[in-house]
Amino acid sequence: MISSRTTPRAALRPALIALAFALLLPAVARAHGERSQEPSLRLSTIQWYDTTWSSQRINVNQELVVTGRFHIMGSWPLEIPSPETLTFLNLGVPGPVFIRAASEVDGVNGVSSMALRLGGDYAYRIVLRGRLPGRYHVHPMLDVLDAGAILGPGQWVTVVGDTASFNDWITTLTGRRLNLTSYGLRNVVGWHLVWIALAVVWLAYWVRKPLLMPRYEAVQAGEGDRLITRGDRMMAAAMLALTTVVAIVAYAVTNVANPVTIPLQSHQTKVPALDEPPANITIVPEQVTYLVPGRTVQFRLRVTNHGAQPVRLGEFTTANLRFLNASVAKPDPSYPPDLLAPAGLLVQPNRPIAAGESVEMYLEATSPVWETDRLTALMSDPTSRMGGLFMFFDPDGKRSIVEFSSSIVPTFTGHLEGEL
Amino acid sequence: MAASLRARTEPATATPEERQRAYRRFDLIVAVLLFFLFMGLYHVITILTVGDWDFWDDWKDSRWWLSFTPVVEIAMPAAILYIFWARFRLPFAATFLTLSLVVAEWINRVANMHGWAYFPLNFIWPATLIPCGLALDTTLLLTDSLLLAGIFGGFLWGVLFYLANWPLIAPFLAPVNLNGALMSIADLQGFHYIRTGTPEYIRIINRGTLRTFGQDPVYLSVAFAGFMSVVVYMAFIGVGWVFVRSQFSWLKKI
Repeated sequence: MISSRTTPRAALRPALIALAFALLLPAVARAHGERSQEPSLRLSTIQWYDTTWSSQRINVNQELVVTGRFHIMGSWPLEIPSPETLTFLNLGVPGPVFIRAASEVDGVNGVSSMALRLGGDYAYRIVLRGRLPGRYHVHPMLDVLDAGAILGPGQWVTVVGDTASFNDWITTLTGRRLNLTSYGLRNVVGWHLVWIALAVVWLAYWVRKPLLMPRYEAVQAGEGDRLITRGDRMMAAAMLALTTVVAIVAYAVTNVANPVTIPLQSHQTKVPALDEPPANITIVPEQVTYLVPGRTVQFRLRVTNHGAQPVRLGEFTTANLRFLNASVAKPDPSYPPDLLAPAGLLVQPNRPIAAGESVEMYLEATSPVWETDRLTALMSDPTSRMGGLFMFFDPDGKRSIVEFSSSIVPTFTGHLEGEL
Repeated sequence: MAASLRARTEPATATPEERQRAYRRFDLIVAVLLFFLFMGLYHVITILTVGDWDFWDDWKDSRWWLSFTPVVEIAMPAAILYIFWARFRLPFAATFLTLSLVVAEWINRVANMHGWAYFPLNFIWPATLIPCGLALDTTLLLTDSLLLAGIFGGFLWGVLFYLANWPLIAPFLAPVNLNGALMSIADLQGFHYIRTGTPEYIRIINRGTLRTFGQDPVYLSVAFAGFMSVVVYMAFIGVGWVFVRSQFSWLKKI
């Protein structure tokens, strides 16, 4: 006899199963894998800056505008296909939760795939409209032919409202106004049903007869030809005629109903880079190391100011992370806080570099994000290089951006020798 | 107990009626199983070969979609058609397969691409191959010849794909102007409904030089599709032949 009383052992079993499920089931995805991109892709290819999101909360149908700039590294790694062939300005979002109403790069329509120049700076603008309510991580993104997607910084944006209220009205060149959310679907489903009905008629004609075993026996006995009757042939002729007539009539009717059609369009263009004066500052890396215990990138640089104004180093940015020199640059409150290094940028000497002066500088960019964003995995890359942008400011607030690229060496023991 | 383990001495079906009923049950079970099997197999083959050309409106072009899809898709129906015809004299394999494919595709589009990935259904509808299947099956029955069915039915397979799917795609090829760029509605859908993994340049559409033969490559694409469908049909009839020779010993045992 089995007792109905629950034993402690029996109660433990479902608890253990539940625990196993809790441990094995993946956590909720909070973004979409930007940290899994190889460090060399993020550090040495495209540097995004001045990124803004017009809002962090919009309604369904309301616009969200993402703007900013990106710099194509002149020292683009040889092992990564370059954007001089083709790129496409895209958006890193979890599917079509927004619609992309418009986009442009340096004023050129973003529907095109574009060839971009190494070393060039480009300004972009993406206009989105909220479609599905939810909270999404929104990144600008460049798809580079044969290299893949390279993500810009991501910001959380919440879409609120009613999904059913979303609409996507457009007007064709023939003057027809239509809602793209549902346009043409009834026609598609209708034609599918017509063809499914014809298939069912043909199959039903055969299924009503004995199928497999008797026919197999007859074929094996050499009487297969006897299985096809005159009625079968008439049915086949009727079905073939019906199929052909329906297809031809449908084709003709469609041509009348849609007199103006065009082939699918594929746009490709070359976009000139922003026409900006060159920075009159040169940076020569003397030594760059990553201090593993301190989660710090240390730079020893020779900086020369060739301009007519003194300049101060205000920011170092790479892989969407921003290290600000607190005495020069103030953090932008709308920038994602997880991409702003709390410790900022340590600069020695932290003073203006006079016009014509050449100075040796020591910098420290300290942040746990080197680890949490998996950028230190570059130590296992075939090319251990560090890239980024240094931003200098003159007394008038004018910004000079200098591309930086250097090999980087890990250190496990301490700070750079001869720290200033 | 021992009695129940003894071999039966009388047949399982005593009368012809009982035998027929058993055959019908067997037919029904096999038909249902085959439908689901073909849904899976043919759909996987379609995803792996035709793929994006069938997934999105803005891939359904007048060159690659029209020529590539029917040529690749005739392979499995040709092999199964041979098996059904050679062993059972049943001329509905191609229709059966194309119907199973379209059912599987709609399930995938509605549940997966629309339900989970949020794409609107009017952007991700599948093409239909059912008229192609009907033409292949009926020409086989009418000609009573696998060779003639391949020549006429195979060519019709390629041509009917265009004729039958033109009513579905044509409304999406009306022109629109997006900030100075001429686009079709299908292109605009591709631009509006963001695919992070499908940049514009990755689309293989309208590439090639067929247009040098005239303004519109459609008719050449369709003729090429018809011709190549015949060739692929012939090759995969051979696959069916090999399968029948090697695999049908089990049915004889039944």
